[in-house]
Formats: sequence, structure tokens, C-alpha cells
Amino acid sequence: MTDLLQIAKREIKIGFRNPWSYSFLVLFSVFSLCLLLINSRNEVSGYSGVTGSMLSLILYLLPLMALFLGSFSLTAEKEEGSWQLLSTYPLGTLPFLVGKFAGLSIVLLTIVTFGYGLMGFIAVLLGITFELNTYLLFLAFSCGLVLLFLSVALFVGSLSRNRWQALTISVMLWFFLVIGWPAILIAVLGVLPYLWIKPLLTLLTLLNPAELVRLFVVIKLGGGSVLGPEYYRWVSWIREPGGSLAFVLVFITWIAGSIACVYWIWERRRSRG
Amino acid sequence: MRKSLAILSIVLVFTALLGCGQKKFAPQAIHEDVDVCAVCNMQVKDGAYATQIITKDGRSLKFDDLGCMNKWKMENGTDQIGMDYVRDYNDKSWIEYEKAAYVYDPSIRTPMAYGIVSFKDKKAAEAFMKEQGAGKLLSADELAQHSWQQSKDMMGMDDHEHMEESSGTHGQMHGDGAGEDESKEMNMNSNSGH
Amino acid sequence: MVGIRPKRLMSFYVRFGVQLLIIGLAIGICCGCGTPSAYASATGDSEGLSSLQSATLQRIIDEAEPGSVVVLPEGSYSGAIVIAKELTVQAADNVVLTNTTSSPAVMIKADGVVLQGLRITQEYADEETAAVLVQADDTALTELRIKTQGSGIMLRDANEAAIFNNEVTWYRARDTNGVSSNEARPRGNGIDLYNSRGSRIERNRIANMKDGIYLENSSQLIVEKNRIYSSRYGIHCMYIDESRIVGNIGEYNFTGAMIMGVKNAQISNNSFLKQNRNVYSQGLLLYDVQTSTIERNYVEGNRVGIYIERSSNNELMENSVYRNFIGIQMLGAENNKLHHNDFVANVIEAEATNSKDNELYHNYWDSAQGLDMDDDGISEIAYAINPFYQQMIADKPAFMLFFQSPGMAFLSAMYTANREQWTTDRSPFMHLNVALDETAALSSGDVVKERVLSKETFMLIIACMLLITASLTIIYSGVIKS
Repeated sequence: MTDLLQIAKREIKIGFRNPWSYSFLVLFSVFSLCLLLINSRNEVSGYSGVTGSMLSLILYLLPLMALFLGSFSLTAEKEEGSWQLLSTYPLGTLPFLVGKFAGLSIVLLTIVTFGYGLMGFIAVLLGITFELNTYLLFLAFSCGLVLLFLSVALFVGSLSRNRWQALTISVMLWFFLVIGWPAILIAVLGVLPYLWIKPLLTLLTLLNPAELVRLFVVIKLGGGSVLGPEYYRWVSWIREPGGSLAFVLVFITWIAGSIACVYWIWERRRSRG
Repeated sequence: MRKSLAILSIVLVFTALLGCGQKKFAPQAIHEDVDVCAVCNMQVKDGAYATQIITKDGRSLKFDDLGCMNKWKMENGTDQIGMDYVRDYNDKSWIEYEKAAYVYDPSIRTPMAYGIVSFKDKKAAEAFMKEQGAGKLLSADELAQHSWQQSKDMMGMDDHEHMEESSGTHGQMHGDGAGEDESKEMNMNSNSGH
Repeated sequence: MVGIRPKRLMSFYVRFGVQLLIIGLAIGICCGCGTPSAYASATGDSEGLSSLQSATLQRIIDEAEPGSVVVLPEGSYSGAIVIAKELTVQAADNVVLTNTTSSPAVMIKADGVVLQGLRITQEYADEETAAVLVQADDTALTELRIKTQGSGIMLRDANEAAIFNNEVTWYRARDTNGVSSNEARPRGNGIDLYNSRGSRIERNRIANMKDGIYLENSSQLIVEKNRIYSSRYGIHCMYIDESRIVGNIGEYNFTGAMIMGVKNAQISNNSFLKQNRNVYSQGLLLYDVQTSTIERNYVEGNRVGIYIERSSNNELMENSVYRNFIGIQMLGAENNKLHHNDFVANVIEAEATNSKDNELYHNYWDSAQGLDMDDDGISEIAYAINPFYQQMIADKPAFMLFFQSPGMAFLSAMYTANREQWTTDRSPFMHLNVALDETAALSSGDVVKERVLSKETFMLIIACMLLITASLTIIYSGVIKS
């Protein structure tokens, strides 16, 4: 446990000295403020054009941020040789990985929190109506998204040998999960029999953190009816408190699952030397 | 990644098996919350006027009135249809379109005013016509020649008014008082959703 | 024709005014004396009591002279009653009529009946059983308060009715164990017209019904300033000609107004808000609507603001379409004119497929990139409605899951097939057409404003806390060297 805390502390220190963190912080703050100002005439609540475009912005920016910072942190360990050094100590791989994850989460969540704090502050100053529930939902949604993509980032980091490779894979994965996702799915599922589409789409959505979190927020904002009759039962179920609980469970399973995978990869590397 | 691929392939196989299992085009139950008519967008009530088409790829299209189903067939053709169903007026069981007996009368109120109700056999249809004192018996083949006129077009015409009176759709109006039998009849004639 | 009705009513009062009131009061007092004795004689036998009361009320009506005014004294009565002669029935402050039979609580079978101020509880749970059934012309129903387990006011072959200031609500039936059991008992319509010409329905409040106001096979109706909440369809028109639907408010219904098979209607100044719970919710739906005018309506927060299908030769102007999931949706709508409408903060502003020859101009689309070179307030860049999403989900509704996913926006942007055939606004406006305050004033915003203020401070505290926590973390672990 102390190992884990040590690693986490070290990660936080490194994280906040990393210029990348600050550039993302500035980028996120500037973009969210711009969006807020563009829509300053409209109140921000429920599912509308304003919250819809905010959602899109967050889906573009935050996964990329988490992927970069997370994967770079792991590849840096390899490149700079500190992992080689650390593995000579009696340090378990799991405390190392969990510590990394915890430290990086704090860095990322701080960035997100700062952005939202600034956004809320300016919104109140300018007298923009920003419904509190919507604000908090967005904050929670962003945090969730960042954590999910951080676990993906650890995966990327452990698979790639250096930063360049990590960068390439991250961008590829980001493009696939965020931008290309509907296009690819429409193309692939379009040729399958009609009755397969819905179950497959449902399953694949569970595997894509970006879609998973987006749909959850859309439903919680009250926009669930826009997803149509096929998902009616889902939607009305997720709207209930039980739905949130289920979402938290899926969320934890997701993170635990991917950390387990990463652990397996690192252990294999470690045993092979 | 590998894990998800494995899951994916398992599910693919599973759904493939499921898909093979359902070859016949069984009618689906109606959920009033989510089912609207594929033509006119009105809510489909889980009642005697509901009809549905199961397409060859297994999609279910529901209609609130036989006339709307007919409109869909006119516009989209019948090539995609796996099976089409109507409901028995009395017990609301699904019957194949071809096998049902139909009664048309402009005074019968249906959701989109096409005035056609369906029965599982001729006997039930004849019993209905006898009770109403009006109506024309049609088979599925004869429906193909039907004009599909909505009774709104008859509005104001004198013969329509007569029809209505004789059919007793508005029995209460012409009776002496609110007799038990009459009000029951009225409830039945104009039951469920418009 | 329609305008004559209230005038006639007025002159009626003027002519008979005082005398009739005195007669009415006299009858009322007589009955007031009569009722307690009925109570007394029938105590302990509730069955007998209700039938006695029913007989009492029916007797009052039967004994009244045709054309007179009857004022019902305070008290509880039980139905069902039939009014078969021209009569004005007014209720004192607290007159409750309860009906448990399968007949309507009040049935009106004679022309020229006026029914006013009665409270009616219709306990027989059946969709087709009305609290008030009108089968005669020139009826006036005013200030009735109806609670029903069936339907509210039903008009059958009843022309020139005036239905003003009534309140109709549906309530949950309870069985003997006190357990609510509404599922098996479908609710009926609030006000239900069939084959009835020239009626006016104004300033009624309707909640929790199937259709708030259902109009079928009628013409020259005026539906004005009604408020309809939490029903299936707020206003549902089927085959109506030459009618006016003006200044109504619908909230939290499945669909605000379902206008089907209608010709030459005027639909204006209505507000349809927050119809978004159901997967097929719309603010205003037009299906098979011809040569009608739809203007100055305010649709906000609906799943689809305005939905138009198979409708042609209509004019939609100066409507305010705000914050809907889909602003306007057109399917097979042809030859319509859409101009001077405002589309603001909708998730998707417009969808259009199979909609040819519509004339769109001078609308304001807030997400469009307008460019005004000559400073005339009109953009030189046309606004084309991308049909990609709607085309895709038409065949495979399962893909609705991608609604406004970031990748979907990307994909739509790349789709430009047959662009010249898309529905296009050739000259979009750069500024709002309709000042919002005017329309927003229709909905009750006062209560909300107060709440926002206190929430604002709360929000400020939370935002500051977040900001400070984040800054401290950064400073503590990033800047300070230990």
C-alpha cells in the first residue's frame, strides 16, 4: 500500500511539471469558455443545442488528453529506464500500475475541475443561466470519461515501445472510438440481417467508453426519447436511480478489466525480462 | 482487445443461432408506449383495429387502422412483406390478412375512419353485421377492389346520416332514455382508441 | 355564424335577467328545503339515498318550465340526469354531482341548454362514458369542474356549442382494497367532439386525459386559450375544416397538437412545451394538412418541435422553435412556404426527406454560418438541410443510437449527394424574426426566475470551490518544491 502511495505521489509531481498538462488545461478552459460565450443568450439546461455541442466538444478533447498524458507517462518509464530501475526493487507490478493510475487520475481530474470551476464562475459572472444539475452532470460525465480513457491509455502505453508509437496508437484509437465509430459501425452492421443490428450495436456500445458515457449523459439530460423506440426500455431504465448504479458498475468493471489486462501484459514483460 | 474480439465472436455465433431459430414471421405484441402507426404516426392502441406487417428481414411495422396498412402496401409494394396480420374484432387475436373476413360500413368508427373491421371467420362477421343491421362482408381478395374511402369524405351527405341512424352507432340519441342495453351497445361500437 | 352565439346568450340574459333569477332562486329555495328532508328520510340506507337524490335533481329539472333558469342549491347530488328541454341550470357555490352509473352524469338532449358551475365526479371507469354528453345544438357549458374516470365532455352531432372555462381532469380509479388500478381502465378524452359544427372551446383546463381536446369530423370550430397538461395528445384534430386553434398551451403531453386530415385551419399563437418523454413526442404534428396557416407558435424543449408529413400548400411563418432535440422535421411535405421562423438552440435544427418544392426563406437558423455582405440582414449563404441522418434511420431505426454522436456529425458533413435537391433556405436571416419575450410570456416564467436566483449563488459557491481545489492541487504538487 505504501508502495502504491509513493508511486501515486511521484506521478502527481511529474504530472504537474509536465508542460503537456498545462497546454491541455489551457485548451480545455479556452474552448469551454468560448462555447459558453457563443451560447450566452441561451440557458444551459436539459438536452438542447447548447448542451449537445458542449457534449461534442468534451468528447473530442478529453479522450485525447487522457490518452496522451496516460500513455506518455507509461512509455516515459520505459524510455527513461526508471521502470528497469524500479523492477529491481521488491515492488509489485499491480501497486505500480494502480499507483500510476491513481496519480494520473488526480492530475487529469484536477485539469477538468479547473476548467469547470472557471466555466461556472464565468457563467455566474456573466449572468448566463446554467442549471446546476446540468453543470454537475457534465462535471461527473467529464470525470468518468477521463478515467475510462485513462485506463485505455495505460493499455496503449504498455503496448507501445516509445512515445512516438504511443502517440500514433493514441490518435488512431481516438479517431476510431470518437470520430470513425458511427461510420464504421453503419458500414459493417448495415450488411448484417436487420435483427442482428440492435443486439450487436448494444454490445459494441458497451465496449466504447466514449459512446457509453455520451449515451448515459444524453439520457440523464432527458434526451433519451431521441434514441427511438428500439432502446425505449433501456432508456427508461437508465433514467431511474438503478440505472446510475448500473452505470457505475459497468464503469468500475471497465476500469478493473483494463487494468487487469495491462497488469497481465506487464507481468509477461517482466518475467521475460 | 483480444478479449473483446472473443466476446464479439461468441455473440455473433449466438445471434446467428437465434436468427436461424425464427424463420416464421410471428406477430409481435403491441406496446402502447412505443408503437405508433408506420403511416400516420398515431399511437397504436392494443385493440381490435391494430394491424401489423412483419417484413422478410423480421422488422415489425404496426398500423392503427387497416386502411393505413393498405396505404403502406400501395406505397411500398408487397415484396418485402413476410406476413401481414389483422386482429379479430371480438377476441383481439392475430389472424393472417388473407384468412380474415372483413366488414365495411362508413358508420363504423375506426381510428383513421376507414370503417373496416376484421374477424377470424365469416360467421363472426355475419353475427356482427346482424347486430349492427348494416355493413358489407368482404374477403381479403375483395378488399383489393375496395375504394378505401375514409368516412370524412361522406360527411354531410344525407345517406351517411341515415346509415348512422340505422346502424345504431349513436343509439343513445335515438332511444327513449339511457337503457342499459343501448349504452352497452354504444360502448362496444365505438370502443378503444381513435 | 360562430360569433352570433355569445351575443344571443347575452340578449337572453338581458331580456329575462332579473325576473328569471328571482324565479330560479325561489325554485332553488324550495329545493333547498326539500333536500334535507330527503336526507333525513333516507339515513342509514346509502342505496336509497343516492337514488332519492338522483330523483330529486331529475325532478327539479323535469318540473322546471322550459326556458327558465334553475339555480341548484349547495349540496351533493348523484347522477345520472337527463336534460331534455331548453333550460339554464346554474349551480350555487358547492354543488357536487356524483355519478356511478354507466350513463353520463349529465346528458343534454334539448337545444339551447346552459349548464354552469357544477362540480361533476364521474366514477364509472370507462373510456367511452362521459361526464357530460351533449346531443343537441346551442349548448353552453361553462365553469364546470369535472373529475372523471372515463372521459370528460362529449359532443355528438351537437352544433354551435360554447364550452368555456371548464376544468377536466382524470383521476385514478381505486378498487375496494384501495389499490390503484388504472392500467386496465384506459382514460378517455377531455373534450370530445364528433360531427359537431361551429363550436367554441375556450379557456378550458384539461389534465391527465387521453386526448385533451379531440375533434373529429367537424368544421368551423374555434379552440382558443385552453391549457392541456400531461395528456396523450393535447389537441387532436381528425378531418376538421376551417377551424381556428389559437393561443392554446400544452405541456408534458405525448404530443402537443396532433393535426391530422385538416384543411384551411389557422393554428397560431400556441405554445407547446416539453413534449419529450415519449419516443414519438412532438410539439406540433401536421399530417395530411392542406392550405392551412401555422404562425407565431412557440415550441420549446420538445423531442421534435414541428413535424410535417404528407402536407402541402401550408404557410408556416414566424414560429419560434427553441431548444428541441429536432427543430423541424419534414417527410413528404411539398409546396409549403416556411418563412420568418426562428430556429434556436435545437440539437438538430432540421431534417427533411422527400420534401420537394417547399419555399424556404428568411428563416433564422442559429447554427448556420451566415454571411451578410451587403448589410441587409439577409445571409448570402444558403442553408441546406442535410437529409443523411433521417434517410439512414428510416430503414434501420436501431441507428438512432448515433443521434448527434460526434462521429455522426462528421459523417453527415461529408455527405453531399444530390445536394441541389435538398430542402434549402436560400436567404436565411441573420437575426431573430420574433422577439422572444413576447412569446415566452405565454408560459408562466415568474416562478422559475425566482428559483434561478438562489441557485445562482449556490452555483457560484460550487464553481469557486472547484476552482480553488484545482488551483491548490496544482500549486501544492506542481509548483512548490519540497
